[in-house]
Amino acid sequence: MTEFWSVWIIVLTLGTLLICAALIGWDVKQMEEEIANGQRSPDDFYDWGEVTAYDRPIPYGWLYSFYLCVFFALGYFFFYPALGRLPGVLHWTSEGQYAQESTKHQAQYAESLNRYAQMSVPEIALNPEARHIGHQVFLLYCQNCHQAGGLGTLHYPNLTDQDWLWGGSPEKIEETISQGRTGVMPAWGALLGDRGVEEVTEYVVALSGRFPTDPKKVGAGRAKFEEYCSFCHAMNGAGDTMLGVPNLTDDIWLHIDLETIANVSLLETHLKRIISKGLNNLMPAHWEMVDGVKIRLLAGYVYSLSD
Amino acid sequence: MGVKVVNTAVENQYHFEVVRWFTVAAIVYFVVGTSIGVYIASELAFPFLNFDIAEITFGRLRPLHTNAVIFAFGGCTLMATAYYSVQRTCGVPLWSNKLAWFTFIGWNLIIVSAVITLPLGMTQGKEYAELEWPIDLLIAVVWLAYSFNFIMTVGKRKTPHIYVSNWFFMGMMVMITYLHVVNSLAIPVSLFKSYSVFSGVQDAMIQWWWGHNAVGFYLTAGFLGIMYYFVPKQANRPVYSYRLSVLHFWSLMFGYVWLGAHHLQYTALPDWTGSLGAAISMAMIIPSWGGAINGMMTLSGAWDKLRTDYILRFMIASLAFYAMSTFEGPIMATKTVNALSHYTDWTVGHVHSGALGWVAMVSSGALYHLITRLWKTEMYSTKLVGLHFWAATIGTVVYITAMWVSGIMQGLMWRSYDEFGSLSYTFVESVAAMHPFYAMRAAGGLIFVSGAVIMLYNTIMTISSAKNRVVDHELAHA
Repeated sequence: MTEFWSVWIIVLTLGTLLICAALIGWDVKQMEEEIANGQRSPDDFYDWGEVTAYDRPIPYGWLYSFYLCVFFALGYFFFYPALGRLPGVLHWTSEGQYAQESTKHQAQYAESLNRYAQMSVPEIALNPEARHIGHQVFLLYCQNCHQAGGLGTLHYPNLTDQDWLWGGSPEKIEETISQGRTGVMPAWGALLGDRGVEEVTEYVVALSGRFPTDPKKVGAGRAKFEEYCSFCHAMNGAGDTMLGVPNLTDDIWLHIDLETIANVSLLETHLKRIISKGLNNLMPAHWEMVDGVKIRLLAGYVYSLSD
Repeated sequence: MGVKVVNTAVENQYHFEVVRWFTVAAIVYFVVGTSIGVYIASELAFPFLNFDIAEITFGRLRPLHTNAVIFAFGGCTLMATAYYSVQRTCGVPLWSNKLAWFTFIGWNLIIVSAVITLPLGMTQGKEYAELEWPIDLLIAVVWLAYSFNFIMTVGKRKTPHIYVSNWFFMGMMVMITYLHVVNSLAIPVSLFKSYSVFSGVQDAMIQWWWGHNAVGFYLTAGFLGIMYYFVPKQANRPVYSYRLSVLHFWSLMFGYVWLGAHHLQYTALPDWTGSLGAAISMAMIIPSWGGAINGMMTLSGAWDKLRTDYILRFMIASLAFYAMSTFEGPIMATKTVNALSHYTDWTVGHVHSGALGWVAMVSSGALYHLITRLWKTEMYSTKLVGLHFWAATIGTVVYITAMWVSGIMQGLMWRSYDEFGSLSYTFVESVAAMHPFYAMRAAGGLIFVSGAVIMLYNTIMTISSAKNRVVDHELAHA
C-alpha cells in the first residue's frame, strides 16, 4: 500500500485506542477527585423519574482489565502486521506461516513416503500399502468426479475399463494426473449447418454399430466426416490417444448418459448437440496440489483399477 | 367485553397504541422466525424435507429465517421498546405519532416483501443483506423515519440528561443507517436484480463490516438499550453505575466498527486488516462485560426477586449469555482459533448463543414487561412465563452444545492427517459425522420454539382478558 494509506491507518488506529484510553482515564480521575472533595458519594443517583441510576464509581477490576485490553491490542500491533505497512517485530505473514507449515509437513512425512519414492507405477499397483496411500489420495482429490471406485459418470471417465482417451499406460496415467488434460471439440454447427449436422450424426451412429433412423443421410455424412472430422477422429473414426480424441467406433459414450437413451433417436439428439456446440472437458493438473511421490502413488492406484 | 376508555394521566400523555401493535407483531414474528429456523435445521439433518420444491429448500429458506428473526422479530422488538422507553425516559410523547405508524406499516411491508422474494430466490447474496435493492431502499426510508422520530423526541425531552438506554438506541440508529446504505450500494439491472458496486475481497470486507456491525450495533447496542431500561424497571432498582454505562458505551461505539475483519481470517484479506480485527475484538471483551456487570449488579440488594419474578429471570439469564458470547466471540476472532472454527458449526453455535441466549431472552423479558404495562394487567399465567423461561434456556443450551461438539469435530476432522501426510477424512465423511448433531440442534431449536409458542398463547390470553382495554387518545393539548 502507499505511504499515505499506511499513515492513515496508523493514525486512526493508534488515535482511536489512545483517545479511548485517555478519555476513560480522565473521567476516572475526575470521579476520584470529586469523591475526594466530597462532591460525590456512592449513594448519589441520577433521577429520570422513570428510572434512576447510581453514580457508583467504576469497578476497579473492570477498569484495570480494560487497560489490559488496550495494552493487549497495542502489544498485538507491536508484534504483528497491523499498523499500515509496518510488518511488526516478528515479521509474521500468513504466507510465511503457510510456507513454514508446508515445509514442516513435508519433512515430517517424507520419511514414511521414502520407501515408495523409487517404486514404479506398476510396482505400486501390486503393493497393498502403496495402493492404500494412493487410494486415500484418490478419495480426497478424485472421487468427487470419478466417483467411488473410479467407475466414472457422465462427463467423467470410467477408470476401471480399458478405454482410455489419453492412453492407459502407467506413464500416461501419471502424466494425465500430473499435467491435467483439456478435451476440446470445436462447435461445428455454423460450418455444417443443420442438415450437415444431421448427416454427420447419422454416420457417427453407424460408426458405433447402431442403426441410424435415417440411413439415407449416412453417405453424405461420411463425406463430411472425412472432410472435417477425420483430422482428429481419424478416417476410420478410431480416434487418437495422443490428442485425447475418442474412438467413435465403440459403444462407450463419455458425454451421453446411455441409461437415458431408450432409442437411437434420443442418441441422435445428444450427438447433434455435441457436434453442433462442441465440448470443453477439463481434468485439473494435480502437480501443484499433490506432492510428487503421491502423484505416483495415485497413478499406481488408478493403474491397479483397470488391471 | 366492551372497550372501556380510561383516562389515565400516563395514557393521555404518551403514544402507546403503536407500541402495542409492534409488541404483538414482535411476538408473532418470534414464533414465525424461529419456526423457519427449526424447519431448516431439520432440512440439514433430514434432507428429504427439501422435497425438491425450490421455494422451500434450505438455500432459499435460510435467509428468510435470518431476516425474520433479526429484522422482523428483532426489529419490531426494537421499535416497540424504543418508542416506549424514549417517551417515558424523556417525559414527552413521541415527536410524531404518524411517523411511528408509518414505520409500523413500512416495516411490515418490508417483512412481507422478504417473505415473497427470498423463497423465490431474489437475493443479493450478502449475509443479513440479502433483500434486493427496492426493499433496501424501503428499509433505509423506514429506518430513517424511526431514527429521526426517536432523535427528535429526545431533542424535546423534559429531563436534563439523556438516559443511557437512549444513547444506545441512537448509537444503533446512526451506525445502522451508515452501514446499511454503504453495504447495500448496488447497480440495479431489473426490478429484483442488482449487482453490488463492490467486488472481490473489498466486497467481502464491506459485507463483514456490515455483518458484524449488524451484530454489534443492532443486536448488541440496540438490545443493551432495551436492557438498560427494562432491567431497572422490572427490578425496581437503580442502575448500578451511571459512570460505568458512559464509559462502556463509548468504548463499544469506538471499538465495535473494527471487528468485521475477524470474519475473514486466513482468506484473501490482507494480514494487517485481520490483525486489527482480531486485536480489537479481544479488546472489546471488557467494554461488553461493562454492560453485563451493570445489568446484573442492578439487582444488587434484590437478588431474591429472581425466585419469584420470571420476567426478571429472562433478563438476568440473557445477561449471562451475553457475557459468555462476548467472551467466546473475541476468542474465536483470533487467527489461531479462527483457523479451527472458521466455516464450522462452532460459528453457528456462537451466533445462536448470542441470538437465543442474549437477544431473544432479553427481548422476551422486555416484551412481557411491556405487555403488563401496556394492557395494565398481570400475565394471564405466570406459570407459563416460567415454562417459557425453561424452554428457552434448555433449548438454547441443547442447541449450542450440539453446535460446539459438531463445530469442533469438523475443525479437527478437516485438519487431521494420517501417517503418510494425507488428510485422514474426506469432506463427505465429515458431513456424515455431523448428522446426529444436526438432529440434536433441530431438537434444541424445537424446544426453544415451543417456548415462543407458549409466549404467544400467553400473550393472546392476557390481551383478550385484560379488564380495561385502553384506547390511545390524541394528545389533550395537541
